[in-house]
Amino acid sequence: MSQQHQSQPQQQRPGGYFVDPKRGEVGELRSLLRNPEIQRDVKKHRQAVQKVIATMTHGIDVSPLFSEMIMVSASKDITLKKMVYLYLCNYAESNSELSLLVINTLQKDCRDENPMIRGLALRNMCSLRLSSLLEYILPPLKNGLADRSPYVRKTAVMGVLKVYYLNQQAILDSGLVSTVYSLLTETSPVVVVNCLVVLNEIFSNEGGIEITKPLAYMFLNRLLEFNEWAQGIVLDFVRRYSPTSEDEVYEILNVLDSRFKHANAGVVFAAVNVFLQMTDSLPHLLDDVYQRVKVPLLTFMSTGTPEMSYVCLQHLHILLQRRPRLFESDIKLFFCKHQEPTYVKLKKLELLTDAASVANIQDVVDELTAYVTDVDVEMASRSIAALSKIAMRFESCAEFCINQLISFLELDISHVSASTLLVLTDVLRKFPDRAADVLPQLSHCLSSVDIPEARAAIIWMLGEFGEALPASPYLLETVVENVKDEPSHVVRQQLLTSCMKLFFKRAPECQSMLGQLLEYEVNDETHMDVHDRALLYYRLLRNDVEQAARILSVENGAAALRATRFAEDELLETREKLLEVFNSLSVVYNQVPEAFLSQQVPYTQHKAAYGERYFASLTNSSEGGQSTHDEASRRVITLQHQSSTGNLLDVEDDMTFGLDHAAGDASIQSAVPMRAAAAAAAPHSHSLHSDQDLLGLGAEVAPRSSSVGVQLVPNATLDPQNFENLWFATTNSVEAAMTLSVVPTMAELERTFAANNIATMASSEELEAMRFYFYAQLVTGDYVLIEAVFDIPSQELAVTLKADQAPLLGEMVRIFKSCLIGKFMNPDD
Amino acid sequence: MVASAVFLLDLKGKVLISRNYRGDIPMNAVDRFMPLLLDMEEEGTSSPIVIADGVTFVYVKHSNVYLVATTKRNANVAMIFVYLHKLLTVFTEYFKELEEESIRDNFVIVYELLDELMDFGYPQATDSKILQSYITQEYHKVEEAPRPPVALTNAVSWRPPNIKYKKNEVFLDVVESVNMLANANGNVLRSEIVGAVKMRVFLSGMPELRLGLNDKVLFEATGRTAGKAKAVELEDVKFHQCVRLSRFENDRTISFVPPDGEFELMSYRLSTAVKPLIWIEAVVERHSHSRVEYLIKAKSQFKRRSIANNVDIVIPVPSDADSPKFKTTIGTVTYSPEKNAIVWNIKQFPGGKEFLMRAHFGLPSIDAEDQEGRPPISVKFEIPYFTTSGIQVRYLKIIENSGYQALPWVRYITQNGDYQLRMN
Repeated sequence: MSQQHQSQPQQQRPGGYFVDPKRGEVGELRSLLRNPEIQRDVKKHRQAVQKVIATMTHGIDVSPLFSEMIMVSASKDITLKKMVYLYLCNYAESNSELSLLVINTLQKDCRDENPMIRGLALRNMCSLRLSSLLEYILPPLKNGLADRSPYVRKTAVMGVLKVYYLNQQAILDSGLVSTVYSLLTETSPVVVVNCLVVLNEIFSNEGGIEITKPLAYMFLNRLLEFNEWAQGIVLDFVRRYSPTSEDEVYEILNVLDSRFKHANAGVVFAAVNVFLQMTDSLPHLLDDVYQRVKVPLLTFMSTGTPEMSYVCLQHLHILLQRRPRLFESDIKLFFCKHQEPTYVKLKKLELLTDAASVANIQDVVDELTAYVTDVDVEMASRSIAALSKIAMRFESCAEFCINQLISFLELDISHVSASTLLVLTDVLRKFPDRAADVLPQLSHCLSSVDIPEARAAIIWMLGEFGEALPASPYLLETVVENVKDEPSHVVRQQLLTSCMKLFFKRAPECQSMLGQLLEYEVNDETHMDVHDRALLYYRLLRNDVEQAARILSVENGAAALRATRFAEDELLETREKLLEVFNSLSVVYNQVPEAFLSQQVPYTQHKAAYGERYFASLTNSSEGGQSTHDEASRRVITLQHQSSTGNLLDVEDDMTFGLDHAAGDASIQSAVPMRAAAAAAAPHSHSLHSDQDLLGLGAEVAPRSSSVGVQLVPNATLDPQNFENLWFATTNSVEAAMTLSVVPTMAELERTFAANNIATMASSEELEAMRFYFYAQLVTGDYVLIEAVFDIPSQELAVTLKADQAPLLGEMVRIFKSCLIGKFMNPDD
Repeated sequence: MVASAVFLLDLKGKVLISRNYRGDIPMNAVDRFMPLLLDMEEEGTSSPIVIADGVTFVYVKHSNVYLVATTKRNANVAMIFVYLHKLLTVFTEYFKELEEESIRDNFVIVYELLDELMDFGYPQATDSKILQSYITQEYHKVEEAPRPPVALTNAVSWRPPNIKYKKNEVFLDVVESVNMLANANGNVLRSEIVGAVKMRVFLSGMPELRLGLNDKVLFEATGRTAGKAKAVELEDVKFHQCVRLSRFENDRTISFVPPDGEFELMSYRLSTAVKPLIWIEAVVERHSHSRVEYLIKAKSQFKRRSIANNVDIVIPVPSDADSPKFKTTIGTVTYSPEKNAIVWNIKQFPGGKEFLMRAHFGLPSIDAEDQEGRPPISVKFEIPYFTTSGIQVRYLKIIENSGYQALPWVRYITQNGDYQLRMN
């Protein structure tokens, strides 16, 4: 920026008051550098150059002094030289012609009798990054490789790599690579390791230099000569060696075992990596190896700096992935210390959760309970979520965990109660019989908790399990009475659904309050979404109470919960791959290298990245078809994810609701004429999605559980070859048998399924049987494959379903059945 | 490894000094660092590693300085952290204190060091003793320009030859830190001992040292009965790079050529359950809206002969507590409102004793808005002439070609590490 100021000669305006300070500074420096008196006195000369460097460090452009600085480089003083070289490396690129002037001095310095100066000149000459100087650099570089001082040699070796990036062909043609190769076996360890680094980078396309047995053994034998950094590099190289026999593996591991005692974590990590890679194909050793390598990592984790703890925790998590019980007895090392940074605590929390086993569950739950009262709100809510996860994973301990969760409600800390209520909705869906213990707490929470999502969770539980508590209608009643003052539409919407549900369970106590609520919501509600929902309920009830009861009182959603594909599952798959890139950033990011090395969006944390991928997969899957149905389904999908963000979309959200399969009833369509038109445009949309809504868990109430896993994509395509591959590759399967009430024709069956987004791959008629292969695609992009054999004499339909995600299968069976019910099958079957 | 560049930033993210090693990432990429860090802090997702546009920033914060390494590759992250901490050590040994001011004052040296410590993103020479022999703050005379020390390129990279001392001495400190975590019910959740053998070596020439400990594995291997002195099981040992690890693997001998001056020879960790050395029982009576009362009992559970020095018992109190009143039989109690804690200091706490302290605070009649967490009680102490593990130095042999006599001095200290007791 100050370059243009400099175009005016400085001397004309010596130090006036109104001189631009920067311009003044550069000019002052120039006169200092030119002052012969200063040049004669080394001490003063140093001070002058030091001022130039200081100015440069402050970010002020001092490149106009280039020619003066080149003059200084002729000095014999090493401190001066160092400063000048630093300056040159900074500005050479912007002054390429002038840089030619300095090459003379550099070449001269490369022949100095002091190896320090030779090394210095060589290092900086190669760092100038000016390809125009190439012809001048190569000869000194060649001499440097043959220098008698190892200091110069190691610098020259690295110089080869620097010049390689400047001009690859020049280096390959120069023959220097083979010289570097020959230096691999020389005496000075620092030179050797630099050679290794340089060759590995030059041959990086082939995965680095080839590792032969003699080379591997040479490095293993000389390992102790190398300094700590070099050992890390050497071990990383040895890792690529594949031993020819198991005995050889033992031999190498025995040599490396002592590395675990090294104080440098980098060396230990590299050694651990060698252990893991070399035994990867020897499953009988793995248990011992994992037990061995975890010890030093745990030590660094518990005694190292917070940063190192974090890195260790990430790597230990990968190991845990492979050996779920690896830390059964070390669990206490993952207990959080009060003063640890949050990123370490949260990571420890993950490991505590994942390393929990029946043997240590008590300790883990006690510890997690202690965090609930932590100062950090995030920590508290994650601990609560962890407890619910453990409750769902270990059914034997669920009782205990749920008791703890219930006890949190008594603590009367607002954010703790809120988080607890949110996770309890999930827990109760899996353990509905525990509702009787939870519900008595709710009355107290209802008056103390003010976070809308948590209030909605309370109301959801009252609606879903209201029969377990005599007072539940009265609890809802107080909310209904104050509905005018209820600020959150999330709460109001949930209140509607819950009142409806409870009404069907306890009609006499609920009737008047439901009437009151519907009246208010239909007449005075300002939120369109809630208003429409109220109107729908009202018309449903008016039209046919029985029908309304059937729609609303769906058995609660334990099955739906299991059907959800969790983001964590995907994470598990990634972690599996991460073992291959152990000891790298990949592990810390929880992503394969390709995923983050190229990405352009700012990266914050893996959750965000997953969210994005998730979105991408959603859009992709709906891009498959071109029909208008697809348009509709796409809108639906977007909606689910932007839940409650805008009113415009909320209208359509309701549309999905109207598209329920059971609600094919004309009365509903007439009740909601505006939506009927939209519904007609998408005659068979996602039955399941709306089904879910009917659980009373609108996406807005509990977005976590708004399962996308059970939505089928219309017009899914799959070619026979892929079908066959998938069928044989998929191991998760479930079998079901059902008896049909009539003998359908093949075409009839195929049509029925097609209308429900289950497409036919192939079908064949056999002597007394029909055989079908169906498939369906979920919005996640996953396929469900179905084989159905109908035995005509017995009217038995035997079905085999296969899907990557085992939890989906139960749900799929239900869908499959629901297609048949009515036309071909009695509902009570 | 491979760092593209290394930066020293001030608290605002402004570059104090930078060194571009590979030139494959624009240097202004670092401008993204601080805003990103602040964003993540705000979202509660902070991490010591951040990435923007494929550029990874690995950083360490020390006083008012950030040390940041950048890379575009899937680098070896553990090594980068070790390297950054090594930088901290080197700078601290050079400038005593590493902070913004010392970097500004010594920028020429910092540049020189950055140039020598790493080449093209790979660490080269990082031993500050060796570096100090050729990169110094003093002006050299022109004709005496330093030459690269042999140690720089030798297998023994940590010790320069030809060191001379008039008096040859070695100081050996065995320091054990006790980490302890107890829950509110008085159960010890975890306890471990993290020990370190620290040395200060003032020896001439190239001495060969051998350290003998009461190592259980060694005693068993040699069939020696430990006799009265018990042997200690050293499981999780880490050694300074000067120790011949393979020798230790073979016959448990700790032999080494030491660096000159101060260094940590080895560290170890024992997770054996030990009786908490100082046990605290706290009874808290909260009368919300009026007052809170504490009854603290401190008990020393080590040998009567030993004395714990400078014991600080830090008891957290509510942030809105006021008008403190204390009563104690020993030591002094101070209220430090900035830490929301009372500190009970006992200068000398002999073993097998028990002391009491009462504290009384007023509480405001209106509750504070925010819910407060419950930080644990922490204890600081130092017990000289004593190790919890029972580790002992049996001998330290010093062999040097010139055959001088050298004196080894050994000290033992036990102190607190993370020593915390949770409160109800």
